[in-house]
Amino acid sequence: MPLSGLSNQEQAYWSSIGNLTGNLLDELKKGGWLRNEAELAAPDTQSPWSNTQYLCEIQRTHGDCESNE
Amino acid sequence: MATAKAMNDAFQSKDVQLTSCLVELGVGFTQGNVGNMWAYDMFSVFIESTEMLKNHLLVVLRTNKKPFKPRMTLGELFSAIRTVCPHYGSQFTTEVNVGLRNAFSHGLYWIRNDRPDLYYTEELGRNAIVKPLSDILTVIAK
Repeated sequence: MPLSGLSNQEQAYWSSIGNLTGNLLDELKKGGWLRNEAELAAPDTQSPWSNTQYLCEIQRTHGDCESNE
Repeated sequence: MATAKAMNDAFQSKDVQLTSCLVELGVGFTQGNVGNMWAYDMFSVFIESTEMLKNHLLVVLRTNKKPFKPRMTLGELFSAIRTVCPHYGSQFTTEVNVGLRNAFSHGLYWIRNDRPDLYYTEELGRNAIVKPLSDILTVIAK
């Protein structure tokens, strides 16, 4: 995520959050809690997110993604 | 997020024009309540962001075995993360699962017209906690 436009204090905070998030994902991965690429390509059919199209649409609405339209 | 950024830019750089424009519409905006719109938008963005965080985590996590499951509330998900991540779980969830999140999610907050403060409570019946909205009003009053 670009940190431009933020104060030094804000940049330091968000940088620390980035590191914390990375450490959390590493811990989840070491514990075997993250899906691998094959699983993400063929998601759990029990999951409401098995079709990630909806998530992409939500992300376009709330996030910074550009629409494909 | 683009809308939220526009709202921030409008209030931070065009506050006088924006306030005058809205007040002159004569539909109920006043010098004292225009800033509330900005605050409500930021509260909404905060809640949406936490829910999006939950959604993204549920995509990448293996939800076919406990403690994770396909459908979880944010509180349940954070509790599960703390269980399986003893090193960083608590530190991570503490950053997101703040008292204000619960208040915003459940409408347990209010803004008084006579004071530039945000009031909220962690649940009905508990004492109100006060946070100043002075940063917003400082910008609005320029």
